[in-house]
Amino acid sequence: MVTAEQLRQVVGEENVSDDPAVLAAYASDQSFVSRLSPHYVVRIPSCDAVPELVRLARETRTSLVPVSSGAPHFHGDTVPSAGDAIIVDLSGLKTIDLVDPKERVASAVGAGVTFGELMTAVAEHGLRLNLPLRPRATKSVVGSLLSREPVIMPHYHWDICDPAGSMEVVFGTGDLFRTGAAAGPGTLAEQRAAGGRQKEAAGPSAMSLHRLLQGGQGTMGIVTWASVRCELIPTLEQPCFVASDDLAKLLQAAHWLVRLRLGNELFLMDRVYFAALVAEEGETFLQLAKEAPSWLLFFNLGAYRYLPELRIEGQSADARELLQGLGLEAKPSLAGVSAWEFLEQVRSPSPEPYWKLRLCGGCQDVFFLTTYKKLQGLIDVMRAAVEAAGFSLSRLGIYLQPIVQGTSCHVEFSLFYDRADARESATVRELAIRVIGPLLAGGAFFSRPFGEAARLIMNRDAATVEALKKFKAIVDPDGILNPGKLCF
Amino acid sequence: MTLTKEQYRALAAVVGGEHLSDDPVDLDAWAWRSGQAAMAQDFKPRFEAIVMPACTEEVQALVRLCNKFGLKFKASSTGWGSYCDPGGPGCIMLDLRRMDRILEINEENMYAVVEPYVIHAQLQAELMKRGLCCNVNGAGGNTSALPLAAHEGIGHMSASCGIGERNLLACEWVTPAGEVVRLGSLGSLGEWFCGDGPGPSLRGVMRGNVVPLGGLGVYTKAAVKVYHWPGPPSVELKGCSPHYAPVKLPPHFLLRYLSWPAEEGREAGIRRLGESEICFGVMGFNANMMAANVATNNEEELRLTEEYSKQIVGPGVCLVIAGNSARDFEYKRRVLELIVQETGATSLKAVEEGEVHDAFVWRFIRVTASIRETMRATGVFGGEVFGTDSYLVQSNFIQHSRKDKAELVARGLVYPDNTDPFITSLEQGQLTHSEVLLRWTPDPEVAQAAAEYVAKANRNAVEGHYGLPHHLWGDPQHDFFGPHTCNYTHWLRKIKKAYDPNGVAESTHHITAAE
Ligand SMILES: Cc1cc2nc3c(=O)[nH]c(=O)nc-3n(C[C@H](O)[C@H](O)[C@H](O)COP(=O)(O)OP(=O)(O)OC[C@H]3O[C@@H](n4cnc5c(N)ncnc54)[C@H](O)[C@@H]3O)c2cc1C
Repeated sequence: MVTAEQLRQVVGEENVSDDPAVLAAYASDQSFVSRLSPHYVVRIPSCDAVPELVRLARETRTSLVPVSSGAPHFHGDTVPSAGDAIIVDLSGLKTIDLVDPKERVASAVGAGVTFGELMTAVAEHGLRLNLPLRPRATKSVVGSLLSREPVIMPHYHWDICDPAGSMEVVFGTGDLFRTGAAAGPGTLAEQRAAGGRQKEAAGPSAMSLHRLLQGGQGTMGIVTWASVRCELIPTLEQPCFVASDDLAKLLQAAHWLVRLRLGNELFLMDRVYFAALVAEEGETFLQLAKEAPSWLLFFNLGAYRYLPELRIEGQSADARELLQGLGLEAKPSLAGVSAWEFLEQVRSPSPEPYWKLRLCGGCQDVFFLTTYKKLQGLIDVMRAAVEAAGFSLSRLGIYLQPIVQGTSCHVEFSLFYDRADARESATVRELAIRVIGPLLAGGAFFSRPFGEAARLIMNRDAATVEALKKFKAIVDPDGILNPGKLCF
Repeated sequence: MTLTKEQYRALAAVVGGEHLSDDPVDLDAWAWRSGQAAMAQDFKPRFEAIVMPACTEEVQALVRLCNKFGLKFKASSTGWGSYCDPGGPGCIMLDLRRMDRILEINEENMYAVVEPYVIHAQLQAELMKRGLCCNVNGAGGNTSALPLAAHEGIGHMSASCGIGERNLLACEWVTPAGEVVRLGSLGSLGEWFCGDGPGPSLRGVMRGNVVPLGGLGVYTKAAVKVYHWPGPPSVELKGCSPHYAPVKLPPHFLLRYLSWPAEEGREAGIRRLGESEICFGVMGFNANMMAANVATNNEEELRLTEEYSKQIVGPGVCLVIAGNSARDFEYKRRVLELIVQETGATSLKAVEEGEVHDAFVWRFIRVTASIRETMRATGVFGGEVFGTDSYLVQSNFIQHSRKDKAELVARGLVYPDNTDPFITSLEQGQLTHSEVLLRWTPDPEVAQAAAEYVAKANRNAVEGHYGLPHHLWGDPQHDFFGPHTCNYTHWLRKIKKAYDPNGVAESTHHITAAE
């Protein structure tokens, strides 16, 4: 068992804590995973400390749970599953090494940099991020990339790993490695002098290890920084809503808009999700959740340096014709919310408290990927499960995010519930687990399984589990990295 | 080594006698290799047998037999790459040509599922009927559409249709140990729309920005992302190969070749094309590659190279614009004009009009001219294939190669086809890739000089910190780079060892497990 003294020698006196209040903050989160307190919380002062820390953990057989974002956490992945674990708090790694507007990249972004911080830094260079919908203020960009969180501009989401670039990782062996172009030859400074920007995620050579770090919930390595692909800030934009009670029509519209690259930000949601996102207080929430159209599609046309008016004019006319063909119409506002106001909300971090917790105090998400064809059936499955559980449909929000340029759709069911109400919490907990089986049967692919449901999901694919375990044995032979998560 | 009767019988029991041969005539046919980085007349080591499985189950059974008998295997899809050859005795060829079906085209979610012997030309034609298109490997429409066969998977339309590593969705993998792993939604649901998860994505084990070149098992099926096709379901052609052209080019297509007096101009031009998202395809051809595309024989190619060289003022790029609508086309065309003006580009008039233009557009999209560009002139080609990172690093790297190539040209060793290296824009300029093409008449002395040229580029890459080239085949080259590149060889070998414990997936061009 590692001692506080050993840890202090690696990270410094002030960066090791066993204060019960600090430990308690990591012993549970907003999810329903079992409570377990870590033994220590270690704050990482600089990337250099990580290899030594991992070597020490290896020698002493101590589990490490890497954490990059600040609270509140939602998925149970940062709550230890094994006793005597150490929280490796990377949220202090705040460097943004380089922003290059020509190459559209923020290179070597520290694991602790939040969306707000990175957005501000890249905006100074005329760049912006393809980010998840209204992330919480404390959310680490690197943490989000490592979770393969869906992003709101499918147009620029070429691959599920986007917008991740190269990464630096310390494996469970204590070895430091850099994925993608950052691998070398040379140090980062030498590569930059040659023009390298550590932007390419793939490689080196015939492996792309960033793909195994992503979705790994800290079980494959501790990532200290990642480069982030950026997009240009448009010079002109035109956001709009398309509302309908007919989801099938809106999905068709979404397919064509993504396919023709008409629109940057683009997603769909039901009125409950919409209400939760925009309503600041309960009264407005209830009203919107009742009165807004059943479904909305939001998309935002963007133009850049050349002939922006002409581009917007043309795209707007093309989009209008497309929508007309489906009997739909784009509008500048919805239920009293202007598309501009909404756009600014969805693409900026949420003020505190995090919007998902604002109205009811709790939110449990069930999310997966599927095809357009299976979507309605899966929504029916979820709604039936909600009703059967005696939970109110008026607090089930649904968000549909086409990803990877429309090759699949992220479906997020958000159950807004009162955490202070023990009965309601128990209902939601059971519902969130129970519904997994029927959703799997209906065509849901849980690409990012978390918490209590993870094993159930992983067990469906024994060959993948076996193949993953082979890789895990290479990079973490002693199983010290976040043990108990996924299938490890 | 030849197969024992027991081995032969066991293999035959899997595929049936008619799909297996160890007849020397057949073995020699598969050992014949010319063209890529080879002499024009070059027999490689023979395989012990050629086996043609028809399905995943047969591939799996064959791989298990290889483990049992201590035989090596190497898979090939269409066999275009020289990396399909064995490095020595004791290896059987798994020729996948019987696995040739397009299994699904999902129009709504924009992917296609293919077996290894589906070629790009075939897939693209089927897609066009549905208003869709795919990235076609720059090696030609004749190569496998499986995004796990091509060495890199970079092509003329990669600006708008992505690249192999990133276009891959779910897939099926027979590991060297004989397990069948179905990645992503395929393993959990039997559906093809996602290759990642549950949890970490095994896509990162199966390939990187290059594939393991047969050294990590057999990929039997894969889903590949497809894209919008702004043209008609088919295009009627007139004439007969090699003299053919569209009867009428569909509306809203345009090809231009732009050149600039210096590399800075090309950089500014390519960046702006990417930022404005106007290109359907971008390819950094030089004068000779342009001429090779148009010319139907070598004499014509020489004549056109001379003619084009007079109009081409320096480094250049060939591009195709395609409009999704009349408005979209008009917008893109006008932006192109502005970029030409702003960056001081010169347009090659000779390819801008009439049948030359129309035929070029069609060849560019169908990617039919690779053989003209690479092998027609001399029969042999080679060169350098660099990485895929920033424009700047690619551009800096190729400046070295330009000088070195000029030296080879001056020594009369390689074809004097203009020394401008090739640079291309991927995913609307988000990534850049570069290569240098060398062509030579078969001659051991030249082959040696070409090998030295590549070795020098490798030294430059290390000393100048230009990144890991993609042209690294086999242990010695990897071991040259490994110590300078985060010891990636250590991890690549660990992967090799973990998934191929008996070392049966032939690895001459990949990496072996031997530290
Ligand atoms: C003239 C020429 C031009 C080229 N230009 C380009 C270019 O512009 N862009 C580019 O990316 N590449 C280029 N290349 C390289 C190119 O990627 C390959 O030659 C070609 O794509 C290979 O496709 P194939 O179907 O013939 O694969 P094969 O030659 O059959 O296989 C290629 C490699 O992959 C392995 N392999 C094949 N199929 C499987 C499978 N199903 N499972 C496991 N392993 C398998 C083989 O063992 C071999 O090592 C060029 C090559 C040539 C000869």
